[in-house]
Amino acid sequence: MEQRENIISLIFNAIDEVNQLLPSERRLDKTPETVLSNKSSQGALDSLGMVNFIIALEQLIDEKLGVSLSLADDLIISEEHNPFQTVGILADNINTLLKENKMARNL
Amino acid sequence: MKNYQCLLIADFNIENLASYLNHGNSAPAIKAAVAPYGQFMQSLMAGKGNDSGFDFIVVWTQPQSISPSFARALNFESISHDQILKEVDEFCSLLIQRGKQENYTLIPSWVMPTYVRGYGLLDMHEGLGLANILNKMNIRLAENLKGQKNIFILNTQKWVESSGKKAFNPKMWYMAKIPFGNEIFQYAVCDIQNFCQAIEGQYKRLVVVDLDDTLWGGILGDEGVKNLKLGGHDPIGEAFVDFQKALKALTNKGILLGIVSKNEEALALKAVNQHPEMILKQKDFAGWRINWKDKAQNIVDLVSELNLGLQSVVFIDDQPIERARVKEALPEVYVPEWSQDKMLYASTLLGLACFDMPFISQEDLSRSAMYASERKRKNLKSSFGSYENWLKTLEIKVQVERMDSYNIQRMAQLLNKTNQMNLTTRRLSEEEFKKWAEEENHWVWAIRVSDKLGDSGLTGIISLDVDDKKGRIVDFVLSCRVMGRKIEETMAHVLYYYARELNLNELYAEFIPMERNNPCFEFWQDSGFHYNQKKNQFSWNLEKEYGLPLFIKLERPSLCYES
Repeated sequence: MEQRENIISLIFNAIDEVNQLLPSERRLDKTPETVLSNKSSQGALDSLGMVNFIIALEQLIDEKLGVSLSLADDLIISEEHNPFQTVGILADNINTLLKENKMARNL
Repeated sequence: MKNYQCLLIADFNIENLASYLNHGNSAPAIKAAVAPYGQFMQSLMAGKGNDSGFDFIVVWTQPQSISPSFARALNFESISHDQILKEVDEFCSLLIQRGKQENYTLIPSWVMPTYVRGYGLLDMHEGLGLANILNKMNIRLAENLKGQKNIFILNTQKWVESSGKKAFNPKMWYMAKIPFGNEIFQYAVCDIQNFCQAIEGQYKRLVVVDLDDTLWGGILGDEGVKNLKLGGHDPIGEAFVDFQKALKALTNKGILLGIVSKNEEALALKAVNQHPEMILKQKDFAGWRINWKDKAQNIVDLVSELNLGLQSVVFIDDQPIERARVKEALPEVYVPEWSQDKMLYASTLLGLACFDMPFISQEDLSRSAMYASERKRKNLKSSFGSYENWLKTLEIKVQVERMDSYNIQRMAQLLNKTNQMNLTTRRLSEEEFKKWAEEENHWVWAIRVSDKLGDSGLTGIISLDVDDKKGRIVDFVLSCRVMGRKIEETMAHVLYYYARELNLNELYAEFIPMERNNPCFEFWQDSGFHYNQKKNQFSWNLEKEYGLPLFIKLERPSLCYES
């Protein structure tokens, strides 16, 4: 649980960085329910916004947790499953990735 | 402050820079448009559209895009450096051509990603190294653009160093065709905003410093002159000396120094003059307020004495409470956050961007000396009874000259930064001003002022727009340094003289009130010109003579000779 909260806090930091690139009316709220990526949602990030967000978040995870992730590769997007849909869903997916990463390092 | 419009032309995806400019909160506001991606050369060569309305353009390229030979050199092919420089020359021709159509052009210098090791140990090797040729390319760029006064090269290397390992991220390139990390763009925004402030003349001109624990270590009143920490074999003492050296260096580029300190004046000045390790002496300060009064009030008094605006001031004090007081009482004054660590004073000062100037004129370089002369004038003033008597002793000389290639830069600078004695406060770039002056029926003159105590340099501008038999005074601009010495009346006389030469019947001036040009209105009210309140217009019937102040020695070229 603690790890998930850490991850959400990092996602919020990445949102702060991306918000600097957005007009005030399109800035993202820092809540677990905030939609990040959804073709049908108006509030979501566009493709460049998503690149900026992913890279900011990867850098933060690297700096704060000392783990190098490649989110765009490691989190598979499919028709049914979008790991970037909301802040909460993304945090769960990163949490799983980090656990797998830890297990792999322990092997 | 004005809102700026700019166009970004780049050989990469520059949308992030545009977003930072468009959605940032810091002043001045800049609206950025982006030239179509992938059409860099077409955009550059297309030229300015008729209705583009951009205040400036930014042309940002990667070195391998403008020089195919450099692209091959990156693959360690054996390439002649001369060939690469030839390609730089060709690119510069395009920049110059485009620059002539724009008000201003900004060009970030070329950099290579820090992860490119190139030839490693041999990377600075003459004729081989990539770092070596990249340095040469940037120097060649600067040499080629040296004569272009409206083109500025921005130092990208500085942004790279400040961004550290976030400067480049290859993922940004693969995912979005952006060769830099976003930190680079944030530093670029700061420099672009500094540029906008600089061309508006908004750079800082006066540094006001505290004394105790700011200019020297220790409390003078408690510890005495001999025990101050300054110089010697002591890290803190050396740090204060370096801070003073950095302040002194600023005076060499025209920035004035002042003191505002809670101290006994006589004792403080004794320390300034007599401490053997003091780098700054009394003559280096344009003025001071050393007393026990409120520092905010002291700054207001000092700035008024120096005929400057509060927006020209930087205030440096080691005490957070004094900084907070000045920040709150005088929001126009820039109060940088100041480190508690004395050894960081000099580096903090050297890193301030608020002194960036778009160019440095002869007047800028000699500003400190001019203020020293001004202090002598004021001392002289106190020994004479009436103001008129004092003015007579100064032996004031006014020289009129037409706009030419030698004075246009200073004239544009003066036009854009003068607020108080400015009839219309119109702002024009050097190119725009020159173009306006060349138009038929437009006449522009520069005013130089000197007296027996020193040369104040080019300090005034007057211009006329002639329509039939009437002459409209378009610019009536005088630096606050020489205001109130009958130069204003002399300028009105010069306009009268030339208007007569042009066979006009009437001379008139339309005053446009702005936030700070009330002194100009007051002058015109006292000028003797007829005032039409409805039109806010002052007029003079040219059948009547407008006399020259008796004690002014005037040199003016004849109109016929000039035309």
